[in-house]
Amino acid sequence: MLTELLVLSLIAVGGVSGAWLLGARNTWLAIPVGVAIAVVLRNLSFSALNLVGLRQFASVTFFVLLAAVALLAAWRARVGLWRPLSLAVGFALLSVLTTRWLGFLGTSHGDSLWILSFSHLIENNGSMEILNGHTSIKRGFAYPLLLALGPNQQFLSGLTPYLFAALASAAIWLVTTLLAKYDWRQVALIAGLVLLATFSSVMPLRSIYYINGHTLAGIGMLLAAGATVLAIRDGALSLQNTLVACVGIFTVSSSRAEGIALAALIVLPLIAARFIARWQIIALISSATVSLGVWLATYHSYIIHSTHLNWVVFDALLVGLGCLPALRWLDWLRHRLVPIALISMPLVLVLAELRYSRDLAKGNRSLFANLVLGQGFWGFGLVAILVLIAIFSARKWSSLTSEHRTLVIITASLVFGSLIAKMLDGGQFGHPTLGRLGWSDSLNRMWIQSFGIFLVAAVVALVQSIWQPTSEQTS
Amino acid sequence: MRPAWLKGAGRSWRFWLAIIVLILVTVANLKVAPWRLPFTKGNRDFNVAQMIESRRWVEAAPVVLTNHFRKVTVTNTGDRFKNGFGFERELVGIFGVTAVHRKNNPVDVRDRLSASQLASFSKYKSTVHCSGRTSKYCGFQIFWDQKQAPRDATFVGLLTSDNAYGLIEASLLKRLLGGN
Repeated sequence: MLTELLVLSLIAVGGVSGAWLLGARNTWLAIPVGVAIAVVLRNLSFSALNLVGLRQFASVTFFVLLAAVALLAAWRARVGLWRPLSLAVGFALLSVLTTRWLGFLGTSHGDSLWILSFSHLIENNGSMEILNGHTSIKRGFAYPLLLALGPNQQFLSGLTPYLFAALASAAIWLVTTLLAKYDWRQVALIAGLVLLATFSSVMPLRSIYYINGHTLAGIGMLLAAGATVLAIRDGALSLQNTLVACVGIFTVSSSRAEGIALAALIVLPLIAARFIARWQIIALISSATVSLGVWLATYHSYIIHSTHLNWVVFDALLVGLGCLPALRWLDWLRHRLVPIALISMPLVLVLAELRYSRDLAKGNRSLFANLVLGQGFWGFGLVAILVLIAIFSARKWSSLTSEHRTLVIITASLVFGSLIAKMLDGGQFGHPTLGRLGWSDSLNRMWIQSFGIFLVAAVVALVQSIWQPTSEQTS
Repeated sequence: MRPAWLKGAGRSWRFWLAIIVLILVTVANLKVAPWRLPFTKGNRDFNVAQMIESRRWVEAAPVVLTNHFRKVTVTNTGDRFKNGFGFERELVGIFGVTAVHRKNNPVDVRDRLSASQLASFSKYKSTVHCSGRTSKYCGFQIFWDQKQAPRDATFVGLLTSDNAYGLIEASLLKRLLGGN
């Protein structure tokens, strides 16, 4: 237990210190940004050492990097750092106590055991070439890399609940920032009721200890969404929000196979904005393409092999092509990306339903049963908050606040995007599907990733539709 | 008397809609919606290989074998999409099964070995991926003789019934068939 506590505390302290150094000084923001920074450091250091055949030093290198960041922050910060640090270490302690002392463990599931197997390979310095198949690419990179930091032959059990705490922190940061002008009791009333309506079902609670990359992806998605919403509200993408978005996008893109697509949908309103600088577009997109490229290359992925390209050429093309939206002569298209996405995604779904009606019939029934009849263990809360967001947004579009509008766009994009991602997952084998009955269906679990954004969107939509701001202070 | 901070929200239909829907959903979740334990407690097993074995995972066979033997060679798994059963390539590599020969189909012992003959040597029981007549899952057992099995072992794939496969330590199979 002590080893695990030390490792998780070092991840918490190093990550939060890095966040503080990069300008994320808000206590609630520092914790999820800290997780994303830990992901960036771990992914890049492991991959670089793997490239030169020094994988065995990857864990030590990661710990040294974290300790160096923490020392640098301690030297620079003096007293300003203690609040996020103590909260992060508190979360780490609580996480380790619940898993190691009380023995809380996520529901047993095949995907979890696959992920643990990959973490076992990484911990034991096994050849990464083993991971070149379809199974491994679907289970993510960042999450098994972090799980592999556990004690000898064991996984880092406290990591999963710590990630959930970081996701909750990200949601608190975004809600309190966006609703800073409202009476805190109004926000607390609505947020409390939304939490009751959702956490009275199984899935939100299950995701606390469930071993899979969904929660980690959710952290990255919420950070990217937060930076997008704030930038559009302020009409400018600050350096701090650029960094928050970049580490968030990097995290999502290496956590789940569909991560890069979901990250793209989240930052689409930002990429399409007129105020964003070209270097910021390149930074945002490259955060995704570099993250995915490093993952695919490290796993010797069949995706690279199928192109018959050397991994260096493949990654260079991936990153290079990703920068195309920053070209001036594509601005006419870039500025119209949001309506194009919001029209094309439902259109694709409708056309697919017509073209593959027989293949999709069972999936449609499963989707309905999982989300509306409670078979997916989301109770009635997930659908209820999506319906409430829709009802409370069904007004003259310009009368809604900027943050309300952006959150509605992101929510709609994620709903349609998740459905299409699921359809494509089955479609690559010639049989598009929208899932099967039960909690473990991958689409049903994918809602965990978007859940934090849906909650924030619901609270913002409800509070801003019921009350007026009480003060003119800005966060 | 309403608290001042509610600020006339009581006259807003949106306020009451939100309150009523969220409370109703909470009650419905607690009273009507299907419920399972979201997680378990009391776990003391954090070793990945042991955990996989104890969960009776459908893919666990390579892990179970390497948990109990120093060197493992496996033959006669066949093709899981035809007449064989699943023995996952990634797990073979990750957990260090020495060699797997998939070319030959499992040895058909349905008429040669009875369930009772094998029962006392069954050390692991689960399911496995296969191309079964009614399901993509088949029954699965691993057999070895605790007293006589060598540390470096070879396991042979078996078809034990119409919907069940197994892996048996080679010398034990020889002994059982020789005894027939």
